[in-house]
Parts: sequence; C-alpha cells; structure tokens
Amino acid sequence: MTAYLIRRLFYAVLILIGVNLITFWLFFKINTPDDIARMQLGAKRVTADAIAKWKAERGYDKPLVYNAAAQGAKRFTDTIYFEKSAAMFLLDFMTAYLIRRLFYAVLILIGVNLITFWLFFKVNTPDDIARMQLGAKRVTADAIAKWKAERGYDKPLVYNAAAQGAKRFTDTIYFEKSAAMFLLDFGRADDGRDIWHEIRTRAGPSLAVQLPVFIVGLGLNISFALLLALFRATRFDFASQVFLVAMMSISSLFFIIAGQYVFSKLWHLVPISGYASGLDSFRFLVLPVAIGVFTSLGGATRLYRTIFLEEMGRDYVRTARAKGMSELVVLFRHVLKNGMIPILTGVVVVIPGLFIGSLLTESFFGIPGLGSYTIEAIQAQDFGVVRSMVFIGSVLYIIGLVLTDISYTLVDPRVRLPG
Amino acid sequence: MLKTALQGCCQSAGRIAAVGTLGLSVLALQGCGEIWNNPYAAASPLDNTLYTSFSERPKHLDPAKSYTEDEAAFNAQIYEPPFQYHYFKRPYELVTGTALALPKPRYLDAAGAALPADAAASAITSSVYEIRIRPDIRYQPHPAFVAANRQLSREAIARKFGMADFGATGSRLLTAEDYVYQIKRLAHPRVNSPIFGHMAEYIVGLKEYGVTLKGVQKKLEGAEERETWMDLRSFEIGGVRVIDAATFEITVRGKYPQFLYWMAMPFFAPIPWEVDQFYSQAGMRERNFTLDWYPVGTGPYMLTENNPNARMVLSRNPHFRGEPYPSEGEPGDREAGLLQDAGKIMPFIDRVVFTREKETIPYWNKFLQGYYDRSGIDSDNFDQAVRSGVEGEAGLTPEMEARGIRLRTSTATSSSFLAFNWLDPVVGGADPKNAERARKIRQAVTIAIDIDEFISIFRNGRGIAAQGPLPPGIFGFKEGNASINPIAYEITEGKAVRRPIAEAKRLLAEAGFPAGRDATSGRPLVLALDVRDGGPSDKARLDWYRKQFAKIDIQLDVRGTDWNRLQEKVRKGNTQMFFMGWNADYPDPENFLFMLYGPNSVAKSGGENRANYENPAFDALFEKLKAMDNGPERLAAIEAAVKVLHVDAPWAWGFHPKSYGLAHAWIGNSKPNEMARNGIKYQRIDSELRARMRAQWNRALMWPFALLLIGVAVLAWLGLRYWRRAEAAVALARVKHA
Repeated sequence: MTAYLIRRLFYAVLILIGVNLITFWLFFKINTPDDIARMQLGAKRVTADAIAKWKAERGYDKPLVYNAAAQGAKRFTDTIYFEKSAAMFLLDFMTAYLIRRLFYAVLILIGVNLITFWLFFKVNTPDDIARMQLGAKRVTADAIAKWKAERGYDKPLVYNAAAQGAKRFTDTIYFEKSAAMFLLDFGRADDGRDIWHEIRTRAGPSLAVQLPVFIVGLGLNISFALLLALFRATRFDFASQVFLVAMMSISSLFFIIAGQYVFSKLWHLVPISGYASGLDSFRFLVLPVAIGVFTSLGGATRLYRTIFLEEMGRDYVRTARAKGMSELVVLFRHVLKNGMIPILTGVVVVIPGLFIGSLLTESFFGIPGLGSYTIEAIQAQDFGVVRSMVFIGSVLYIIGLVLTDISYTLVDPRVRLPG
Repeated sequence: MLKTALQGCCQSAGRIAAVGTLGLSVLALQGCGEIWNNPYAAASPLDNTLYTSFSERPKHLDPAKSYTEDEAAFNAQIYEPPFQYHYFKRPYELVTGTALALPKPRYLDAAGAALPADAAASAITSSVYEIRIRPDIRYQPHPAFVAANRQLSREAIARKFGMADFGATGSRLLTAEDYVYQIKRLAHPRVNSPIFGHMAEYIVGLKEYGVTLKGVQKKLEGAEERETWMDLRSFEIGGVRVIDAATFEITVRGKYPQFLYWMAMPFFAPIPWEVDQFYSQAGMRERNFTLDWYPVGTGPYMLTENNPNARMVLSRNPHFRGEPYPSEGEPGDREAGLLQDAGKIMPFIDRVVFTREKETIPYWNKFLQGYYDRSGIDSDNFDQAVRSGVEGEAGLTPEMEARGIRLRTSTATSSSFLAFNWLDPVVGGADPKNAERARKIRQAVTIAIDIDEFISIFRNGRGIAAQGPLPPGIFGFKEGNASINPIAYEITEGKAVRRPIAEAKRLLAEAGFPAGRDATSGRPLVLALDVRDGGPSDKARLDWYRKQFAKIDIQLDVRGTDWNRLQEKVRKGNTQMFFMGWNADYPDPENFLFMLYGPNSVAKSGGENRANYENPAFDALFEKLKAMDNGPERLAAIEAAVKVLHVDAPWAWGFHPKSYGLAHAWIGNSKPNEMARNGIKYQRIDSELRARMRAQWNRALMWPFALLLIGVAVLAWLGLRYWRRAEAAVALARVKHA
C-alpha cells in the first residue's frame, strides 16, 4: 500500500509539472511579458521605461525558461517559469529547500545507480551470475542460456542495437533491472525472493539493536563528556582520557568476543547469540546493545568533551561564571545547549542509516538484520539485491543530510535554509 | 534557583544510585544459580527437539533445483526419492525408500528385443527400470490439496502472509504419477534444473520433452500468461510412463548402472501436480509462495518455519507412514549400541530447530553450553577438542570427555587436488613432442608436494593423502600399501614413504631442467598456479606451496584472481595449474573417473574434465568400466585405469578430507554418513539428560556483576564527593595559604 501511494504521489508530481509546463507554454505563447505589462499599465501614454520598470518589479524581465546569463542552477531558477510557476510548488523557504534537495537527490541516485551497475557488471558478467546460481556442477551452456532468458539477463547491458525506438534503451538489462527501482519496485533476488519483503523483514531486527545503541549511546556519551568537562584537568579527567584512547584503539570485534566470553560464557547471564521477537528479545539484545554503546564510548566522548571544552572557553560562559552561576548551571544551561550544534552534525546524519544495521554485531549475535544483506549479495553475485541496497543506502544518507540541515534551524535560530 | 535544583538533584541522585546499586546487587546475588542464558527459553526443557545450526541460507528447497549440501540438510528430511542409502552399512549401499524393491533393469537391443542381464554393454541400446512404490504413503498436510486453494484470485493471495493463512489443508496418497511429474519438471524451462542437461543425455525423450515445453512457453503471450500453470500431465515423455497408480517405468539410453544412485537424490522426489498448480497461481510468486520456499513432501519431517535469516524448523509429518529402524550394520555397530532400536518405528525426534550461526565462536560456545546437540570442529577449536594419541589416533581432550561428548570421524567421499592443464605446452601432455618432458615435470611436482605435511599443518591431520582419484568408501578404493601411488611413494620396511626429493630433481633433469633451469637457455623454470584471491588468510598456504616447488628449484608464480575469472580461465584452458575438488554425487568410481575422461574436456566440450586430460588408453578403460556392475572384472579395469593415471599424473593427488563431528551424550544412534543426508530420522534424544546437563553447565553467576555495579557506585560516590569539595572550596583562602 505504501509503495502504491508513493508511486501515485510520484506520478502526481510528474502530472502537475507537466500541466504546469503546458499552461506556461500556452500562456506565454499568446502573451509576452511586454503584453502583460501594457495590459496592466493601461493603453494610454505607456513608455518603454514604464514597461521595463513594471517587468523588473514583478520579475517579468527575466528569460522565460533558461537564463543563459546566469551561472549554475540559476540558469533554470532565475527565470520567469521557475519564479512564477515552479515556485507554486514551493510553499515556503523550507519546502523550496526540500524540493531542491529532492531534485539533487534524484540526480545523485541516478549517478549512484549507474556507477553500481557499471561496477557490478565489470566484475560479474551475466554468465558468471548464472553459473553462481546454477551451482558448480554439471552446468551446461544451454542451462546458462535458459537461466539468463528466464531472468532477462540475455539482453544487452545498456544499449540494444537490435531494437527500435525507445526500446533501444528500455529493452536492456540496465533499464529493466535498475530503472524500475525509482518507482520503489525492487524486483526479485536471483533466488526468486522478493527484495522489498526481505528488506522490510530484516530492517526490524537491525533497528532493534541500532536504535537503543544510538539513543543510549548518545545519552551516555554526552553525559560522560559533560562529566569530563566538569572534572577537566583533574586526575580523573586524565585517567578517563587514557581509558578512552585505549577504547578507541581496540577493534569492536574484540569487544564483541570479550563481551560474549565474559557475560555469556563465563557468567552465563545472557544467551551468546540468537534473536526473538516481543519481550523475550530483551535477553538477546541487552548484550549487543551494551557492547555497541561501549564501543562508541571512546571516540564519541572524546569528541564531545572537546566540543564542550571549546564552548566553556567562550565569553558567554565567562560572563555566566562571573555572575556567580555554579558550574553545573553553566554546563547544563549554556554549554550543553550550544555544544549540541556541532554534535547534531555527526548524529542526525546517521539516524536513517540505523535501519541498515551492523555487519559484525549481527553476524556474531545471530541477529537476522540487514547488516549482512549487501555483503551476502555481493558474494552471491545478486545484482538485484546489491543495487537495491545501494539505492536505499543512498536515499537514507541523503535523508540524513537533509535532517541534519533542518535540525540546525531548530537548535540555532541564526541558521536559515536557503529557499 | 537552577543551581539549588541541580545540587538537590545530584544529592538525591546519589542516594537513589546508592540504594539502587545495593538493591540490584542483592537481586543479582539472588539470581545466582538460575539459567538465564538459554536461547530457547520459550521451549520446554524436556521437549523432544534436536537443536542444530546452519551457516548459509538455502537458495533452493525445490527438489528439481537444489544441488548443494546445505540445502540437502533440509530437503533430505522432507522429500523422499524412491531409494536411499543404508544408514549404517559401508561401503555405501542403496536400499529402498518409497519403492518396494530395488529394480533390476531390463536390457533391450536396438530392435527392442530383451537381452540377458549379463549382456555386453555395447549391445545394450536401452535399459528399462520399473519402479513400484509402497501404496500407503501420504503427503504432509498442505493447502495445495484443497481444491478451493488452487482457484484463488490475485487479490485473495495478496492478503495471505504464510501457509497458515490459506486455512484448510489436505493430503493424499502418493502415486507413481507424482514421480513422473517431477521428472517432467526437470525439463521445465521455468524450473532450470541443474541436472537437466545430464539427464537429457540418458532418459529417453527428456531432451525432446524440454524442446516441447520451451515451444509451449514461447507461445504464451504476456508476462502474466507466461507465469500461468503449465499442466505437465498434458505432455508425455517418450521414455517415462505411468503403468498403474503405484508403478512407473523409466527407459535410459544404453547401460547406465549409476542411474539408480541418481534416483536416491531429491531430484527424483515426487511432486504432486496439485502443488505445482497451487504455486503457479497469479500472485503467488509476489508473496514468496513458491516450492523453493515452502516445500511439500512425504518424508518424516515438514518445514514449519522458514526464516532463513534466523531459523528453520522441521516438525514431524503427522502423515508419515513410519519406517522401521535398520537391524543390520557394519561390524562394530551392534557393539557400539547403534542397533538397539532395530525394528522400532522412526522418526524418534519430534522437532528439529536449525538456528543460523554465521560465526564459529558463538556456535562453538553454544555447543559447549549444551544448546547445540552436535557440532563440527573448526581449526580454531581443534586443539580444545581433540588430542592425538600415542599412535597418532584422534581422541577427545579431558575437558570434552568430562562433558560426555563423543567424537565421530569419517573420511569424506571427496577429493581435493592440484590439476595440471593438459593443453598447456609446459606441463600438459596434449602435444606429443613435449609429452614426455611434461610428464616428468608433473611427476617431479607430485613427489615434491608433501601432502602429508600439508594435512598435518593446515588441516590438523584431518585428511588422508590421496593415492589416486578415488576416495575411501568408493568401489575401487584400496586400503594400505596395495593402492599407493608408485610415482610419489615407495615401500620401505613395509611402510609407504614419500620418494626422496633427489628423485624428483632427477626427473626434472631428465625433462631438460637440471637444477630447475632450462638446459639449453639457462632460464629458470617458472610454473604458474592460478588461485582464487583469498587475501591474507591464504598467504601461509600459498607460501607453503612455493616452498614445495622451491625444493626442486621450480619457481612458483601464484596468480590470484577473482572466482569468476578463475573459472573462466579454467573453462577456456588458459591455466597451467589450479586447485579443485569434487564431492561425490553417488558412491561409484565413475563419478570420479569421469573427470579425467577425454571427451569430457572442459575446454573442448564444456564437460567436467577441467584438467582437459586425454589418454586413449584411459578413455578406453573408462568406457568399459563405467557400464560394468561391481565385481572383480570392474575392479581390475579400475586398477588398470588408476595405473595409467599414476604414470600420467594429470593431477598432483591431493587429499581426501576427514570430517570430525562431536555429539553430546544425550544424542543416540548417531553415525557419520557421507552419502545419506536423511540421518535425522534415525537419531534420538535423551531430553532429561540434556536438561540436567544444561542446568549444571549454565548456572548464572551474578556476584561478579554485582561487584562490578558496586565498583561503579563507589567511583560515582568518590566523584560526587570531589565535586562537592571543589564547589565548597574558597579560592582566596588558597591564595592566603600560598
């Protein structure tokens, strides 16, 4: 249902743009900006200067759809069409910003999609993919040809010289396997299973680990960093710094293995690996989440501590102290709030990526998430899955960047998004 | 205001933390002794369930497509081909599965006249197998057997999420028609069975049947129509026919005794037409309702949960006819208590839970905790589990013995080796001018590669050095000195000893490369080994190979490449040397020797002879022995063929891997079987013992955790105290003191 609605929404946007373009073209075919100005200024004693002024005031002095004199995106945005028609879609500066980002996002996604396609088929030919699926034993050339024909891998990669018209581009592996993805139709994996179903099923367990790691981790890292800022330049601060640097130097794999050894094997407190849904999932998630939080402690706390210390050296903090405020009030009321701006930069961008999961954590704890889906697909030479995961990864990353920009405006009133 | 609030907050937080820590510590200490780490907490501790694992998600559960061992772990419990392997007897022996008897083929000549059983293979034009199945076998309950479920609209299917959503289930008796239907599916253009090409060479009419179905498929218009059900009963195969409800007949070209082995594989398991029709309805594939995902069979178990990312569950098939436990085995089985259940009705276990474990560390630890009933042994855990006895025999470490774990070893019916490309001008024998020189180089390399050392270093001794292509358990394999490869070994004081390196060097000198250099040009002899780029983990192994070649002054050039390109190079005959291995499809020497049969050359005909080896003497012997029944005459032909191979050395004979398996004390009737994959029905579990041992091994230890909590609380308290002091300190007073 969601996919259907999104698809319809996408069509609706296309239709609206089309209608808008036709209306614009028809209108300006009949009425030039000069005609409009004359109509408004009346029939008597209208000078060329008055017309030019009227047009300049109302933005009719620009080219219709393409501004050759402008640079970059302004070639399209600094035009009558964009300002009078396209802007209709933009309700305020935020929406304008979002739509522009959406436009860029589509371009980025097409680029990423093309690169993925090129890289994948540079390494694996359709014959290789067929052999991988059919197994290593007793594979005949006929079986390979049949497999390819059944799954549409018997077509040319991007250009079909034997076809006519638009089919030269549409009757190709690229178009059939990749283009439909922009309509959220991810198709089937080479083993015949529905990719979107697989992604939905696996995103839940990934999120079940990553979301608590993110929330608890963020809270703990900020708290610990504030604590270190409070105890700055003490033995405790020094010892903590040494501890944090040591944490950063140790691989997360070590923490996983050590955590499993101590808490599961030695103390028998939680299952070593596995997954369950519902309330029982707590027993399986507590260790991977704790290890995830612990692993992020080193780098993140040190970074946040530096941010807070930098804030503490600013004039407004000195003023606050001079007014007799306690260190706690300074920290919580002033430093924390202002320190959040750079912290948000690194944090919000990762939120959408939480769905993707973590390869190591999921492998070691037997969590059926998305963490290993891409790597397994690369090993199995399954292009359908690879391109879908790369696409979703790109979309989530773009969403993350947009969310970061928006969050700036929320925490810092000085920041305004360009409309 | 805020200051006071925050200070107050800190003070109360300190008190709450202290009380909380104390409370948690007390709770923690109370928790000591309970079992908290059981991953199957929801299940009853006394349930009659086998807990095991899988690492790779199965790609296919459709018996016409599945051709890998990890898939067979599920399929062999669900599907029942007409024949199966005897679970205990060695060498491996075919026995009946759903069939009433092993059929004796009727041989016919070109005119269709019957020939005697001992007729010469060359006179036989076709062999007819008549298979009669038991009349009392029923399918597992499944919605496909309810007529209404085979006429569902796309919209109705879109509302279903699992098999349970189809409501009513049904079943019916197995018929001969179902076996014939599955053979027809092998030729279905939409199914893409990996064995279609091979079977089409043997089963009369199967090739033509494939062409017919392809034609029908081509005529279907539109994507939707191309997906619709093709009722295979409407088209007949010339060489396969139903005689009556319980009998069918297959006609095979020429004499092909190995055909019966194929009929013990899931490729020949029955598929009812109702199931094919059910899964072919429009909208089924979109919802993942396929035979590849929801298998239907007559076997002892049925798949009741399919989540290949997390776990797969097999449950007892309520309609399974029940099969008596074997009363015979090989010598020693009775003494080992393996025949105590003779005559009892199988299966003994109600449920099998396969949990996906991708990493060996959690898998191994869960086995030690008793949460997996069986385990293999990884190189990383080998020393923890196994120790060598005085005679070099493998035994368990005291730690494993104390837990009552038992070790089961067997040699796999597979071979791993280094192949020389016969088409290569330096090491190959295709060019008569260089044939003798190349043969001496191959023989020298065969001597130089000390495979016993390889097995000892890289496989913890788990393997035996191959003396030819045939592994143990295959007819034609000989134990002891009778079978040694005289090129690489010699008998010294009754023992087979690897020939000295000097002999390899002599052979190399005779080949025109004294001290590893071309006698005429003085250039060093460099041989190229193509390998799959395995990264740093393969370095030690490849360095070892370099060292082996360096022993006879040959420089080894290891060329790493990705899997696809390596396969392509092998297919085109563009390699010099490469590694390969083969797992037996069936326990017959033909299944190994065919990889050296000239007409099967991969470069020339796309066959399985990847070394492209060709020797008319060997080819003649192979053609003779492949159609023979096991007996002294066949044994003599095999020995002669292997002798030819010893001299030609188209492979540097590698090793046959040994598999080591561990089983807990509560698992009964477990015996490794390298051919039969349907072993779960024979096994039993002592659930009470398991529950007791698990409770003993997994008592929660909470005091260290409580200690940890107290430590954190003390630290927090010290911090709080320090901060309060710092807040109360007067800076000017310090200045006065100074």
